Amino acid sequence: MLPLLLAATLALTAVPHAVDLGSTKFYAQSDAGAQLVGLELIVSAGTARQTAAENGLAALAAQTLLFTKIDGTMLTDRIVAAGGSIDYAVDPGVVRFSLEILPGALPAVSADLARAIATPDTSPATIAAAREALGSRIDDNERNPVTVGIEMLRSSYYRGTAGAPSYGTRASLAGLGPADVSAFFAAHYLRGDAFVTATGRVDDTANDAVNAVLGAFAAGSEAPPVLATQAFGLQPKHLVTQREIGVPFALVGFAAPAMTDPDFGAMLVLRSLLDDIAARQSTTTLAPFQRGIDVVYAYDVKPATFTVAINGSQLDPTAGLTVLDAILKTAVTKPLAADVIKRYKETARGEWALEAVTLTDRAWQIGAAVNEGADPALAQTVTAAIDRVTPADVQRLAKVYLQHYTVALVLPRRRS
Amino acid sequence: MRIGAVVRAALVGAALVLSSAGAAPDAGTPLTGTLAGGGTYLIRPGGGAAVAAVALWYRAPSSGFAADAVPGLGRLAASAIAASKPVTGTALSQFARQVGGRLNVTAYPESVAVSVLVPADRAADAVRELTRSFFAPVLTEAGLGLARQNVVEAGVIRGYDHDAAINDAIYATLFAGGPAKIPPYGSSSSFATLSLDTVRTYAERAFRPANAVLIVTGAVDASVLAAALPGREGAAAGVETPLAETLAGAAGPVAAPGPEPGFGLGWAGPPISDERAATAFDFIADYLFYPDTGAVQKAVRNSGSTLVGTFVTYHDPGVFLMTSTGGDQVAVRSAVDTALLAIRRPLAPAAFEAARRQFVYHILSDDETPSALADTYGWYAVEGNPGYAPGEGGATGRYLAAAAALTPEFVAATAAKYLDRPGAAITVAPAAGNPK
Repeated sequence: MLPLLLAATLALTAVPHAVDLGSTKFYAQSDAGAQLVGLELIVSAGTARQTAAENGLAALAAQTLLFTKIDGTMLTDRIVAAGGSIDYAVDPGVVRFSLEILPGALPAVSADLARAIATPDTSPATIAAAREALGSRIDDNERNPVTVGIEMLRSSYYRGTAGAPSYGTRASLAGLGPADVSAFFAAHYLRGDAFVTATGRVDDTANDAVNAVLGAFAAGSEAPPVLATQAFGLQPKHLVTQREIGVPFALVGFAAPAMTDPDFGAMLVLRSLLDDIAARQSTTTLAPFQRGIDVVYAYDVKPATFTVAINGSQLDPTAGLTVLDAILKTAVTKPLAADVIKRYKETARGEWALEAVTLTDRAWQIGAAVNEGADPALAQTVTAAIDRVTPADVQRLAKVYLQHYTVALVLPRRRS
Repeated sequence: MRIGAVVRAALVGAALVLSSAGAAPDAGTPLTGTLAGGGTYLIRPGGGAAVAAVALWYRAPSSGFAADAVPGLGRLAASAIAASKPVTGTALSQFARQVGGRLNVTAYPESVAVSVLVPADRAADAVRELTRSFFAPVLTEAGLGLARQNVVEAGVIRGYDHDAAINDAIYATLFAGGPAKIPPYGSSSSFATLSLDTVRTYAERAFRPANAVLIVTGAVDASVLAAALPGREGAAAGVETPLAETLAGAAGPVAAPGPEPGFGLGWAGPPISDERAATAFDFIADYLFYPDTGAVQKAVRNSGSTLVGTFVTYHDPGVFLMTSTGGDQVAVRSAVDTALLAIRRPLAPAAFEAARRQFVYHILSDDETPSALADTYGWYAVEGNPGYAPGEGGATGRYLAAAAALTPEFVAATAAKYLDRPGAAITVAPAAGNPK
């Protein structure tokens, strides 16, 4: 049965690969029968490119690009009217634009996107609109205790602006204007550092679209940002903040191997183990907000982080930290039994298969590998890496990565 | 049937599967057909991630078959079966967890579904485990206890969703009788006195093999069908027929309790068999209420409210409804009323074409994953029109053909036809002293 199934899969979906478009960097995975195309445009213009006085500038530039008017209509509205959607995410190293579109609309939409990249609208009105839209994103993040805690841990781990909040703050954005955004575009939206990944209906139309989009960037390149870190567990070991939330959350931050690291497979097994041991019984798969302990593994950034979130609505954070401490001590002191590691390798393999299912997520996964200098098909080798994991690997990883951590506490504050 | 008998039947089924497991898959197996124990299967291979969604859908009132409705019974019964450990093997919930998959149980007024998303190389195992669990259901006290706890918790979480309460009030007002009048969620009080036998009686009728629609989507081929168990001996034949839904007729605005201001509107719409009109209502809901891009959503973006609008393609009738809570409700109501009047007139050609492109994009994007696609196939199958499922037939399928054939005039006329009829209107005004 298995070989037949794999054969069917391979026949329908190509292996992610580099598309030869000369100097244009394009990586694709086409699916037979797909009715949409998903593209990820990755630009080396994340928070690490900001100065200390430019908190939020990377996000403001990305939002400005989306609000740039093409023939009098915002780029986002033109993409929606054409039958698609566009969004972006800001990481320490890069900003990622995710476009999903009806294939027939791709030529027109890519031409629009190219025009916005070539001449972004940095007028005061557009910057003001972008600032307001970013403010809404910041407000949404502030209402989510997990996001708040992860941002706290990130700022304690990455040195400099790489650890800055993804979208800045409302106060920091108020100090940024058209000249700042224009200068950011000119300095960091460079053709030599940008690339595109695509999934779904990928054909010659996509090749033309990628050529148009990447061709619109200014020529040039700059050295990739180096993400320096300060080890977790150094002073202060506890970070505390308050938000208008109902229950307390505790988030425990650890360093972790990135997707390109040889230990990545073993860390996925550790993730499965932690997820399962700390999970409560349930008839169906629980949503993250229903879990007492949840794990967020940011392996697409190098150096990577591994965060364990303890949800106060399900589990007292103090009790949760005690449970976590006990699990970690056990993982460090003795290797897993053969039947236990077999079980968690199986779970890890399945969870990895389900890690990226949508067009956008799959394009992101290819991009994460390429951005770290790995093969675009790296994700497809992870299952084999999990199969090779030994009990000694898990024990070694627990010693290397899970002995030093910082705790971020997000506590309820009375509504103002 | 007592547990012992059910287990024996399950073992007979397992033996049958084992005897055929080594057989070469039939390359000519059709992708749609009848299961060995009755019921229907649909296998829809697709490209993309190496995952498979396996689902069982049942037409069954989720409040039970008896005259005394038990809200949430269908969800409880399906969850209890998923959590019950048979004498041999593992519970379905344990299987899903072990293979790193995701298990989901959903219930609607007239249907219940259970689905698992697994890596593609476990698709056959998922078919085997799902059919073993549901075609010869084993129910244990432990499984029922855990299910009761989880389902009550889901109901509590839903209690925080202010739109859900208005949604339930719309159905309760719009219908005088039938499954649609009763919400598919239960409470601790409705489950307190429920016995294992009551749940088992419901499960054995609702989840019998002949009433099942098995759907497999994703990176699979027809060979996975060989893993399906035929079911238990003695299970009743035939499928459940749709129960009558009785509309209430004209009614004045209904006041409902709630912690923040809000309102809801609902109308009976076209049945699923009227493909052109049902597609028109899907288009209308998308054009007005799709998150972020809907015309009304954009108009009330800064109102601080939560607005949800949709058309639900039931057997007969469909239901067009919208709910709004929080923020500036005066502004939202004004925008909704204006939009519902305007939609009775044809859109300008350019605006209509742009709206249609968005609509088609949303249909394709929303059904992009194997899980979503399996849910869509399951829904349209149990509601009685599987050939009309949006994913069926690809770009040339009946649903997308109906979308392509819409005209501004037909959409306007369809809106007027149904929205001019009496509907349900719910208002929520918090009592004085409420924090909001």
